[in-house]
Amino acid sequence: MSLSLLLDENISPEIFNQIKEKLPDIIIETIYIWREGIMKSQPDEVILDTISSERLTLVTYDQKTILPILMRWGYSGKFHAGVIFVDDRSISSKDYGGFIRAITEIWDLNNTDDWMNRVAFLGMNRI
Amino acid sequence: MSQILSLRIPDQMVDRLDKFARRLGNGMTRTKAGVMLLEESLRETEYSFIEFRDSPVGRQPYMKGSGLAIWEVIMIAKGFDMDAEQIIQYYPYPIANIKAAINYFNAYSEEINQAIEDNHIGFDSMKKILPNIELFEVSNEESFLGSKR
Repeated sequence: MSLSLLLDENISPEIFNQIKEKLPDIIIETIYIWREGIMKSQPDEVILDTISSERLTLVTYDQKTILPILMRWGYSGKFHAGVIFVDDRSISSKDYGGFIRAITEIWDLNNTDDWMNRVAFLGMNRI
Repeated sequence: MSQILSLRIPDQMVDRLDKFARRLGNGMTRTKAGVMLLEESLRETEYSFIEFRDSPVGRQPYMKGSGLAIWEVIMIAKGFDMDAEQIIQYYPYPIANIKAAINYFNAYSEEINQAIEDNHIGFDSMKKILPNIELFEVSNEESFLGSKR
């Protein structure tokens, strides 16, 4: 199952628009419009559960809420379809270019991989 | 400073309060749970577009009509110098909701800043909890290193 991304509510839909424009073939959704935005105000665990069954990998700035869910699911053997954590100290909210570049590269290098139960962290190399 | 306040509460409400306290766990008592709910309710009354909800990390204030905790709004807002006009270019919500989140932050900045700081778990700490986590490094420049460890 190849990589399909879903951008969390803490990532601007404008970033989604620009990624789609730059990379039309990428399989990516934003929670703002996925399923007419019905998941937008749902609890994080409900979102992760729903998108996992749709094999969508979550991209999020939210480390502190998602991490305990992944821990609990890990202990209970429940699967997810992958999570990519972004740190706002690595890629700030207004660095649309940096964010888009990072997602584009992850897509280019990993889009044929199976992302089941995979977790990635986007960090900044300051060299 | 605190005061002892006597309240006549219906039996059925006490049962619900006890149930709520048990759900929160961590030794939460009826009294502590009652004070917490009262505090949350007062804040919701004093600040528009704010509501408290359960989350995997406990009760948190959220921006009404969204799934965003206030700390998530402010974390992004700080990147835009707390300018509501700029923030709505990022978050497609009514400017009144964004301003309400900023008002709340101005009143409870210590709590919200702590929540933002708590979100900076970082790769090294996450790796202790999730040993299989992978690091993807991006550079400031146009090139992307794509290294993993």
